[in-house]
Amino acid sequence: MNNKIYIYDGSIEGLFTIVYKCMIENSIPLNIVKEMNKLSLFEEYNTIETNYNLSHKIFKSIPRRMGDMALYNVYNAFLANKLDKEINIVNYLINGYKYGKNLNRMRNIESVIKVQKYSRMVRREVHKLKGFVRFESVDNILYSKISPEHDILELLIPHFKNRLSNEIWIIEDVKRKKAVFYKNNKYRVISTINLNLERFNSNDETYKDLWKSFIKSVTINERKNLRCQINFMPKKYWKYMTEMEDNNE
Amino acid sequence: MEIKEKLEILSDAAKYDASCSSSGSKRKNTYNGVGNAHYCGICHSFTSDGRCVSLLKILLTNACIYDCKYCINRKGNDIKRAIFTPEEIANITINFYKRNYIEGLFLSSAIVKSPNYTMELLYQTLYLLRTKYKFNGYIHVKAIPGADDNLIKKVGALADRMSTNVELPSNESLKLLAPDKKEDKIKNTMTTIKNIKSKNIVPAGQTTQLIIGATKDSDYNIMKLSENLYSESKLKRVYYSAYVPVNKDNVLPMIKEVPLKRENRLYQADWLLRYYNFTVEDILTKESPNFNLLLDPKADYALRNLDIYPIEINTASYNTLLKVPGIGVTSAKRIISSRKFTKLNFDTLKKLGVVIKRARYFITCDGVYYTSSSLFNRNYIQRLLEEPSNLKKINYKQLNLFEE
Repeated sequence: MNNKIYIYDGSIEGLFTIVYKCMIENSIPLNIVKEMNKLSLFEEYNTIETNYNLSHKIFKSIPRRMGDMALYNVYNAFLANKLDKEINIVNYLINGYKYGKNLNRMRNIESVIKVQKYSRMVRREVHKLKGFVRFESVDNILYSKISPEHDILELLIPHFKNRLSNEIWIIEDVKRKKAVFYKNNKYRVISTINLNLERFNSNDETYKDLWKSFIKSVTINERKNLRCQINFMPKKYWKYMTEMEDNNE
Repeated sequence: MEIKEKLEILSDAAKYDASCSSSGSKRKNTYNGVGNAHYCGICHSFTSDGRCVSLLKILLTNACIYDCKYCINRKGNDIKRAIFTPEEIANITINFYKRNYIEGLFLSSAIVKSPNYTMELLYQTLYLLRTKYKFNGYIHVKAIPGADDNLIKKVGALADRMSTNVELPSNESLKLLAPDKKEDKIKNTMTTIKNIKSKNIVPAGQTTQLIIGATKDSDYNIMKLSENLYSESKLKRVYYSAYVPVNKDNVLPMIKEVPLKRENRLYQADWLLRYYNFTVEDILTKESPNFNLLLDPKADYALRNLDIYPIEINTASYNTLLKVPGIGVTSAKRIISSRKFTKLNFDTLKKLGVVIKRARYFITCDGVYYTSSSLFNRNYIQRLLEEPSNLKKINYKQLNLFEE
């Protein structure tokens, strides 16, 4: 370990470049950050330029050396909204080159536990959102807003692509200011910073209303259990869910 | 009648059916179709009673010719009756589905005119959805006992899951509370579904539901019935629905509280049967046929068989690990795969997801017990594991020095 802090461009290629550097130099930085947000006088900052050739080498070697599961974990953990994800992914991969296909069983190593945990957190949120996404229908376009904890918009695409293949749909990640547009088996993820999606805030009232009254009438009042409801459906997701609209302050 | 009112009546009438799962089917979308099935199921919402909403759970109609004492839709009740047309159901399903409100349809029905007539209406609805609307989402449909085999098979061919509710755990209870339902007809229907399931129709299999607390049946009898349904009828799931008193009748028990804790215990025991290799006799006996409401069934088992504990984490077999309270299927598998490379201690166990607070009383890590081994005795552990019941909460009010 050295006492440097690496700064990278925030892409997975950038992170893989750092992995390559660490392997060659046989030295791991103190931390890895996306941009210089916390300046400290005592540590040395190094900006690492992303090198696509080197990162591709790392990318190719992961499944070969450590198995597909390792790449899957790294990819998912990278999307987690966690400040220490980069350093743990680097440590995880360096251990991977050492232990090979046994990597995921080495649960006495902290970075292995952490990366598996972050990967699970991300997959869990993807699964939750497959259910919690709510579309509104405007002129036959289905439009939905989400605000997930982790950066999972892209991971939702295959699910809705299979399911609503004949529809035109948009899912907007309000937090990260990007949206996926889908039509005719093609999709594109676009930044929404300069886009105005206001016109999709619809008045799809007929079915919204039916849905709300359905939810109300399937509730068994004798079994009220709000804690259980919140456990399964945390309040942070309520904002964009049609049936919870009246419960948001 | 407006569609909204119909939906209110017919979803309200269907809500006491506990099943809402949308799992077990891999149905694919088709060219120009809408939807597919997700193998492990998806919950789309949760109501304020904490139950998952995955399917549009409705009755086709609540106009019933039967008079089951516990049921809100019984013939003798003076309630509003409604009936959906197949077209109306298909329309709501598709529109809800496109907005991602639901995973599919759960269609049940009261018995209107005759079992065959009802089954025919269910068939028309499913046929419309699958052909005209090209709907490939999940469909769970009720099989009506007493309907013709051929009709049940026809409906099954369009569905992902079918269910026939046993409702009451014994023939005596059935005679008392649901005189129009016949045990042998329910069994026949289940056998029919079992046979088509074996030909890969109804991919997500069949389920059933038992009402808990409306009759005097013991937990032991209920669990025996479940065990039998799993092994003989090859059921995917048995659901337990705590009896909610919606009607008044002399033959119905007077209860103040819905027996939710008992329902919870039954589900825990059901899991032990299906995933933890327990038998009913491990959990309950004829001599003590009901659950201890203060202890979950696995902790109860462990305390009754304390002589097989503490078990050594680093050597115990998978099946033995599963017998430890606080260790589940996932953590047992992780223990097996991790201990090849490193000796496990309490700290690593915690990281593997073991609930140490419960497990520590029953295990050793490399020969070490979590505390002095003199504390390994039944009374001590039992006191620490018992869940405070509501009764106790009222009795043990915290003493307050400054009470007015």
